[in-house]
Amino acid sequence: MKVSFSLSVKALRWLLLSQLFIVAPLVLQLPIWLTILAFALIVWRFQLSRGLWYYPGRWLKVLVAVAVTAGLAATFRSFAMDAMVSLLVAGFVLKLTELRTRSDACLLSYLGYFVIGTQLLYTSGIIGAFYALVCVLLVSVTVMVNHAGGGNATVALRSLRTITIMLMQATPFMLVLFFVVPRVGSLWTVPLNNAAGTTGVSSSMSPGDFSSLMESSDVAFRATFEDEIPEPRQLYWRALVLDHFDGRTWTQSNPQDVKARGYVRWRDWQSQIEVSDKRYDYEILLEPTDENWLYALAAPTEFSRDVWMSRGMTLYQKNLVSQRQQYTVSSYPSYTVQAEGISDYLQRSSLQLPRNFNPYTRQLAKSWMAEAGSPEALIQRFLTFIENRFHYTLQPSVLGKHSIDEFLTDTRAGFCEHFAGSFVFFMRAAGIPARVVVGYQGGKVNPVQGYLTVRQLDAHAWAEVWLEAKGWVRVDPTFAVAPERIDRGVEFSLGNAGSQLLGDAWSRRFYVLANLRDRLDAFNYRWHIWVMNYDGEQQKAFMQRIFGDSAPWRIVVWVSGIFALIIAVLMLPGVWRKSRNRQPLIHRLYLRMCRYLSALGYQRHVGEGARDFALRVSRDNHELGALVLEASDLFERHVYQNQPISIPRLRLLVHKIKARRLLSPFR
Amino acid sequence: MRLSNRIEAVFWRWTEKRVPRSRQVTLRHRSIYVIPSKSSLGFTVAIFLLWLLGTNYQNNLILAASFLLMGLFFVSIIHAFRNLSGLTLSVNAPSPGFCCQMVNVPIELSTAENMAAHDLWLGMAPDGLAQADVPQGAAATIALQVLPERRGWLQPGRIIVKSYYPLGLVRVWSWVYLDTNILIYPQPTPPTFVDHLGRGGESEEGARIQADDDFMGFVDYQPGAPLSQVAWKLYARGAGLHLKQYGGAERASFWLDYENLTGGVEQRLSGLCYLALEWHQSGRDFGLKLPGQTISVAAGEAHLHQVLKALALYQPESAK
Repeated sequence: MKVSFSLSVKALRWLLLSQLFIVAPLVLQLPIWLTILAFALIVWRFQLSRGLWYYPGRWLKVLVAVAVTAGLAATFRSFAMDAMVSLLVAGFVLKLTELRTRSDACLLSYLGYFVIGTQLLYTSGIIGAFYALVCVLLVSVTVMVNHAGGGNATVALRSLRTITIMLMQATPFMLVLFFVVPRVGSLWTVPLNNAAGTTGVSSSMSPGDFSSLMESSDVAFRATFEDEIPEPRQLYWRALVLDHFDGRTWTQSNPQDVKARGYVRWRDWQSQIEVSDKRYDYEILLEPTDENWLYALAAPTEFSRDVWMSRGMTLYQKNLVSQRQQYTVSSYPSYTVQAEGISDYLQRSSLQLPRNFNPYTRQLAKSWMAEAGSPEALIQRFLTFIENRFHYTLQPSVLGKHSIDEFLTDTRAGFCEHFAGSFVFFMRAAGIPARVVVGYQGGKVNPVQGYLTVRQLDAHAWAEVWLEAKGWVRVDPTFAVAPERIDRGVEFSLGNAGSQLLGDAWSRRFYVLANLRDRLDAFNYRWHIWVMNYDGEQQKAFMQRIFGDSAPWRIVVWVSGIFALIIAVLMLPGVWRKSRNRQPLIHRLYLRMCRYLSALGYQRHVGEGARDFALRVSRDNHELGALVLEASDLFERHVYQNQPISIPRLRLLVHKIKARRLLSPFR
Repeated sequence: MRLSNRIEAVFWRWTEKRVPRSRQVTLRHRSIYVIPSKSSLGFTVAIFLLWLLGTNYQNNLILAASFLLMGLFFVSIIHAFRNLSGLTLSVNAPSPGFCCQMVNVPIELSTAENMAAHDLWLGMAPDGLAQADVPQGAAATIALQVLPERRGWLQPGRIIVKSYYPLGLVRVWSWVYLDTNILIYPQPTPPTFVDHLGRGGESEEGARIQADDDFMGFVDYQPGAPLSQVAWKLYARGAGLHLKQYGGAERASFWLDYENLTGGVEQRLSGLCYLALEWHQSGRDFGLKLPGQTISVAAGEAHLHQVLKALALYQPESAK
């Protein structure tokens, strides 16, 4: 059978439909021109199948292929996941211009399966999973219709039914494989997004960074506490320490840079952090950030094996968080860190200030320090100063070169990054080691599941100062200006107009919407905990629980056994066929009538035709016979002449015969 | 080469033993073979790539998709097997054919109640496959063609029944040996006569054989009459269609005589076959004389069949 069969129109249309479904959610990742091209190609091929449009010339095809290649090369300079997906989609739709045989369509469908996989890189919620399942169904139907060669009119419907059944039957296999097939770790790393860190706290703080974050209501992470959730004003989720200022932007100095993995690791943190009192154990489900830092409350003392502590007492790991990730941390809210003193180097870097910036602030800091006498008094004075004269807004005025001078004397309105930045600058100018800490502050308790959801709009920046004998102490100047920001969340710290600027303004205004979102979020959260987060370690634990041991041979034996069981169930042809394929309704009605008649004393002989039987009854009992004759006539007309008959009428006749049985003198 | 031939022979004998020849064969697990098809390679690659993607990005959903496809593969094996399992092939007295001409072997396909069989490919030779579908609760008849190489009884060789249903991922097939005999007549070829008969029709017998006499007159054309009886000359004159009527009771009888033809055994039988067909078509009565066997003069389909059957099954003395 070496013949290459030509592609049937029906199969082609199923293919186009599945392509449409597959490409649609990827549109967000594709360059706009490729999206347009993809849909244009699908439409064109559809029109071609209707005989309306024409095949392109060979040169046009070559031209389009070259143009797409050039376009991809121009759009993507680096080879990130987006580039790969775009390339894949381009090939996926361009093949339509060269699609003639059944085996072409078959291979294209297989490619479709892979493209569905890339959809799942970007969405991992339950809705996305369901959508992908629909896509798998469509592609499989395409494969089947394509294989049947178009065939008769019912082939599509039949295929749809068969594939649905097959997918349901495949599910137990999938579950077993899912739980049992060993998880190999990442083999190589390709960043998921081309523009890294599109949302989330970034490794630098320039004016305007945070306001763009606050426009987003995307979830940053969810935290589940073992016991009770700490007070909102303790929920300072540390991510990074920014200790270098160039006059405009706060960044990590080299020893603090968690991306430069070598020196930043704080090996002897255990001897320098003293903790006491209460302890919180919690689990964080972090959304992908494409960065390598993690979030934790101060002071984290216990965390996963491949998570490390940086010199700024923040957590980070080696790999980028390219997928939703879960980790557990224990933190002590009361702690002292480096109370015995800090190294000269650290002291120097915590006092670093750029020359030629903000001369007024420097001078003010020195004079205030002289007046205050102690760092604590200075901090108090500064906080009182901003508390009385400043206000919190998400729409600050644009600041010039001496940004802090202007902020402190002139505009006096801003949000966390302004307050934290100017506070640290002021402290450093006064000779007190200080640094900016960025992360998130607060979070919202999900009423359904009781976990804490932290969103991008909770992004926050605060400060730490180093005080003799006290170590690093957290100071949040924003708290002084807008305490409700810390206590209740950012949406309560702004006026009506201001809160419109926050992400997701709509659902916060409508209770029903917010409630619905909470439920959906809780559902998604459970989905992620149970499905998405099943990793190598959980697998091991699961196997231990189920099989008693995770030795490979035991698992192989178990899995073979389970598979054999599933196959045996599927192979038993009788079991569910019988129950499903009952006799047709008409036959059942007729047989029921025969039962009633036999109760009346008329037994149908073996091999006696319906008509003969009815005539025999009517010879004996005219009245009953009339009913039986009509019923038999209906039955015969349906069964032998394939005519449509009135089933209610037949039912009524049978019912009447049944009624006669009750009146029967025989009983 | 010889060894491989022998292994092949042993293998075929083994397959035949698994399902003994019979007029009706129902495919069961003993005779159904399953192997992944070529196109399953592409599918497997897709599964592997998905698994790789899922593993690398530690994305459980992609892994699940890959496992789902793997499950689909397993399930498709079961469906493919069930598609063929329970299929019954039966053959009912195929009509005879001629040597070296394609003979149709009608095969009836039926399935167990409430089962259907889709996308079946049946054939006797690997290249001549015919497609068939058996709808649920129905039967289908498919004509397989076989090219007989010699006259006599032909027992059809193994029939391959295969299917790639449902997804084309697995090839499921069975070799079926149906127990039936097809009578193969000799190949009809124009005869060459013994010399003294061939010369201008002088001899008595020759004249009879070649004669076109006993002509009785014309009758009106009857639809279905053999074309050779049509009076074409009359028709050409514009007199309409008429048939030439040959003598009924007075018809001369003709003999097909083995001894009157030249050539080898097969050549002579082929010649006789040719003549028998010709004469039958022109409505003559004729008899057959073979060495050691004579069929008396008669006419009609049954007679023709009897004559041709004698020709088909004739065994020359030397071969006995």
